[in-house]
Amino acid sequence: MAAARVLFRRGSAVARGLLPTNSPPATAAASSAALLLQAQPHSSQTDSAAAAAKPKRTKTFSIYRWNPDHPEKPQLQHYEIDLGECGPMVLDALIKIKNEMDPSLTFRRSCREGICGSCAMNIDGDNGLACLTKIPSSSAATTITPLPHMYVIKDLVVDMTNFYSQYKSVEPWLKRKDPPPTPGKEIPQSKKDRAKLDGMYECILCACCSTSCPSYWWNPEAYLGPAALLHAHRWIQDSRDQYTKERLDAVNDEFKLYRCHTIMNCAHACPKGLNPAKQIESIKKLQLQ
Amino acid sequence: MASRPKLSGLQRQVLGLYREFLRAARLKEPEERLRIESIVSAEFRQNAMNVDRKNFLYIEYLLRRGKKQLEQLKSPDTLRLSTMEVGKTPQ
Amino acid sequence: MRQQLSIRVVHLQCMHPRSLLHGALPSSLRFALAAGLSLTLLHLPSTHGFSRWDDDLDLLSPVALAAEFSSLKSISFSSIRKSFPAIQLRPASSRLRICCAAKSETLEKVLKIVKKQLAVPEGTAVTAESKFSELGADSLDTVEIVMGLEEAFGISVEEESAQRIVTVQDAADLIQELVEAKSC
Repeated sequence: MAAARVLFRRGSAVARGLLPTNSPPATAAASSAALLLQAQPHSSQTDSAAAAAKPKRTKTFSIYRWNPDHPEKPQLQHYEIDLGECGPMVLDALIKIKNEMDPSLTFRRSCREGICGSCAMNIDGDNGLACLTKIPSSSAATTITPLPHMYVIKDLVVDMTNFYSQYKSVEPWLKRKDPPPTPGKEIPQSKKDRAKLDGMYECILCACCSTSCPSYWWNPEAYLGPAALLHAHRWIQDSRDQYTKERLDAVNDEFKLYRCHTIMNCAHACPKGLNPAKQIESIKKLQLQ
Repeated sequence: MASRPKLSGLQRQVLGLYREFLRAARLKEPEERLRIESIVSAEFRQNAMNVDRKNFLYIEYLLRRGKKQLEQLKSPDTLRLSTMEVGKTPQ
Repeated sequence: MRQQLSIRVVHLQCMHPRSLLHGALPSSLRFALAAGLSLTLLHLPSTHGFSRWDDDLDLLSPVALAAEFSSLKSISFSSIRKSFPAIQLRPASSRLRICCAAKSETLEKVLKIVKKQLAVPEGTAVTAESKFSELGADSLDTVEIVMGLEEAFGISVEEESAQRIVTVQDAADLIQELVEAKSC
């Protein structure tokens, strides 16, 4: 019934056939409104029938709070959300809390579809994007904390400067010694060479992997971290780039590369399903040549 | 010499940051330099008075923020530093 | 680190004719400061005489020194500087003379800058031995003063050395060292 109601609201022709209508067919402009009106009797029927059967689903979110303007010790603040009134993702819950309950809750967010990487945080112990993590269905409270072992600016917002500067240090741009083979035109790359970049170009620099790596926790300035190394490998593998040897030499450092001890937390944490550990392994193999 | 209490590492960092700010101020125009120095001096003194010495979390946060602001100030493209008070307007 | 002074005092043959009194300092401290300061100038061969000394040397005549000795319970002083320059006993008087002369000017300049920076009210005695904290300066003010001195003398002070400055005299000494290091 609920599914039909949803279809009805979207103006689907199938839905119009499914449910009996009392009024004559309306014009296109008013059709969606008419359809919505038609839905009214059904929704009230459903509510009265199911009110007793379906209890309100409340979920508690325990969210890390720290305000630099009133600097006391960081706290976990608890918020109760009715899951029936909220979207399925953790980001929906956060936005609902910020809109309705506590406007001072601070977090980064942008695309709400898992492509910008802004809403990276630690949800129930695992790093991930809030916009891609479904709210756990269990009745236990969900704990949301900022990315681990990063300096906190406010609430769930962390200082990413070190992370970004490490990415910059890898020189993530095309470097060539010769001009392009056809002047003024793009540098040709075969499909096979382009396929080598799959699994690396999709990285959105959310920092979930680096901040899940214990080795990165203990050496954040010296060790580049899985994200930067993944991008280093992306440029090492790019057939159009001519500074491959220099890139390999730049990374070939006891701290920059070899702090990786194949802990593999990065592969578990990546919200895009990438495997930085595999790329690091590939760099290490290339160093042997 | 023994009469002065030993400065803790955190205090030394704060003083070091202050010196860096004053050095950066030297690079700007003379009238801007005076303004920068007065702003920075006022901010440091206010924090020194108001912030609890044991509140390491906040002091470190202020140090990090200060370092970022210093990096911006050092850039030759930065001409001046100014502040504004955001508060309740008198009714 | 306290050291025995007696041997060094004996070497000090050329004396400044005037005995110098700076403010109401405890005699032991003044003596200690004198001893600490005078170590740089201990490489004086006994035959040379100096007609000009600057004020901050605080060198006392042997008689006065002996009097100091007797008044003190223990003959010792605390080393003010972390490292002592080697005591040389060769004639380098002309160079020394210039350096000594510069010291009084240095101190004068330093005192002037300190007075201006701290807005010391008229009438307050600012001497070489005044501590910055006594003059109402906190550590931030001290940093400012050091920066002002850096600019005035065209030198660059290390952070480490800057944090060791407690009195005006310390500042003057540090500047003196740096100026010498720069010119020599």
